[in-house]
Amino acid sequence: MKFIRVDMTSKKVRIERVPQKYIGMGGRGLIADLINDEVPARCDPLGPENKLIFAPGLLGGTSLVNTSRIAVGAKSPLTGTIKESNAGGTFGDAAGRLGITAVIIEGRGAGDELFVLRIDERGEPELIQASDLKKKRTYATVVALLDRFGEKNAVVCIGPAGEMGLRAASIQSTDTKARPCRAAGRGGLGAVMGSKQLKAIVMDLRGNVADTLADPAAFELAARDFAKAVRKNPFSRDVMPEFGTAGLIAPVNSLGGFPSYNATKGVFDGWEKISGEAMADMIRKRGGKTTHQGCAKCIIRCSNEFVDKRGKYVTSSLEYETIWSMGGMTGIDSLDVIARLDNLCDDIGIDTMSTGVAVAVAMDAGYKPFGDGAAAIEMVEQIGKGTDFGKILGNGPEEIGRHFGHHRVPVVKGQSISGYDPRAMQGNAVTYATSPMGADHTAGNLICEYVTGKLDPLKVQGQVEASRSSQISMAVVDSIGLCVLASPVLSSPEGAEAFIRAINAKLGSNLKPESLEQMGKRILSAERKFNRKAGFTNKDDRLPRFFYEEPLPPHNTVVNISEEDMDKTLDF
Amino acid sequence: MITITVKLFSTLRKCVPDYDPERGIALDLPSGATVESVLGQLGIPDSKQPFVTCQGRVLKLTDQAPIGGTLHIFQPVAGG
Ligand code: SF4
Repeated sequence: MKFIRVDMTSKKVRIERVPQKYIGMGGRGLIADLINDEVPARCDPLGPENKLIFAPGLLGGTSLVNTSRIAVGAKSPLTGTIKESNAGGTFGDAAGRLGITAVIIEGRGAGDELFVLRIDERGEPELIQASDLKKKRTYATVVALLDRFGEKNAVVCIGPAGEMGLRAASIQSTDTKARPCRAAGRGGLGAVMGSKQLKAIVMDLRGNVADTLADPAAFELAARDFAKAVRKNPFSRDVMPEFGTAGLIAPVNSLGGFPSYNATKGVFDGWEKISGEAMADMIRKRGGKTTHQGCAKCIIRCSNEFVDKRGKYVTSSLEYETIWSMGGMTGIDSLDVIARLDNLCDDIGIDTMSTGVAVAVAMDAGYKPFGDGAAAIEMVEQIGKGTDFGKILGNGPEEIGRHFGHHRVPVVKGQSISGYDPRAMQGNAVTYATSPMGADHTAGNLICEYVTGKLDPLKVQGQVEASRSSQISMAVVDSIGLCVLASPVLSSPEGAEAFIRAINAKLGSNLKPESLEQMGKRILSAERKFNRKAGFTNKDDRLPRFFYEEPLPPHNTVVNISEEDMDKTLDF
Repeated sequence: MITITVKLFSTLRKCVPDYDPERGIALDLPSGATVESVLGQLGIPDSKQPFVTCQGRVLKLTDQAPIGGTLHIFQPVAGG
């Protein structure tokens, strides 16, 4: 258990013991407390007072399957709120196996140098000059870093977008094949990393000093039972390895909730061409991989490797949210173009969701026609080149909306919605509006309740409660380091029971299911506390006007949740 | 008799031999047939936890299959 604290002002790096009050915390929950304790809420997100925190989940580095997420947090330059965005790959597991509770990057240097933080196999950190990596895209950055430090390393890094401080910049994380294709995409955390003049963290994969477990035998047993529950679940067993999250395209269109053509329609005209099923058939025919293990310790394998007609790698992994933002929102019905855009965003280091939505807003404003793939690629290339227009686009949909004087900008607190239209899925409206992170796809997504018929997506009734409960459990999932795609198993009694047993066996605690609920509420309250200090009020927990005024076909509904109900959601 | 069209998604496509994803399947059913009987006729087992939509709404197993309608049948999904 240790913090690695890196002061970019003095260039001093030190290892600290984790203070008692943070023991037993990880990921998003730890970030919420650390940011509250150490970051002045009204600070400039790109200034020296902000801190960028990398924290594996509480069970990162253990043998529990699918717990290799790395949570990244700071005050967000995109939303102005507290932000946690997490990525898969190998970095979270590597950090956990080195017994690292968090890496905290603070301060800011003068001049325009660039640095890399290297953490070796004993967990020893060193800050190294790396100005030669300036403006390098992420794939080339990783090749250069692995060349220098060896293949047995996990890397998180930024591309040109982060270096330029663009507010939709991502932090990219390497997958099991050392490609920077996994992203902590949301909230512009790449810009915070850029402001710290930190290009990358290179973490040795051979760590073997994970935190001791209070009861190793009980832990192994719990881990085995949990893995069994994951393997039994039809979603993780059947759907994910075959289609990944792209399997959502068909059901979300069938429910009329797939925001298309900049959220003017709920069904995309060409959705069968860009569905998970079409993608899987295409990948298989071309000799690509419909499934592979993108992240350490994963037994679900939602990832794919998308290849072109000649069988050459284009991107990994083509996922639902990107196909939606780069396809549905922009009217582009070619998976080849969408895959190219996905790879381009990863390489430039920019969020695919915010960028796709920004392109869609520009198209809706008349800048280019919907469906023009070549124009979309050219627009995203401009971000990488840092042209004036590219910088506006790279600052996300709100800025592009301002630039074109366009009213239909689907963001909350400056961050784009995800691929579920709030007018056709009223509970997701509640989550978008009230999540302390701004609109978000993993903060409390109710799609599972809708497709299984547990909740009617168009009725007001039950939405606030469902959003609340999902937001609470996601705060826990993101703190433990569990992949969201493994989280449905927590709704089975044996999955939930094994999960809590694993936590107890690590901590030597006696937590009950109610304790996890308390944990989730506490995290959300801490995040809201920070936002209050930063100047946010209930009035900010609202969707843009057009979601209340412009009915979405085919259901022709608007958001019907009252302001009063919105305000009750997280009022614990 | 009524006729409906069924489209299968995710791994359910494998439940019907030679399934054509573009055309789907045309089924003739006795009038009043339920969603449950459609699943039975197609041989989709409960263990796949199928759910069915028609015209943007999720149907219950006991709902009647809509005349001339198109049913979409899925497996459960979660977001991410
Ligand atoms: S299911 Fe997908 S995102 Fe989750 S751990 Fe596995 S490969 Fe990574």
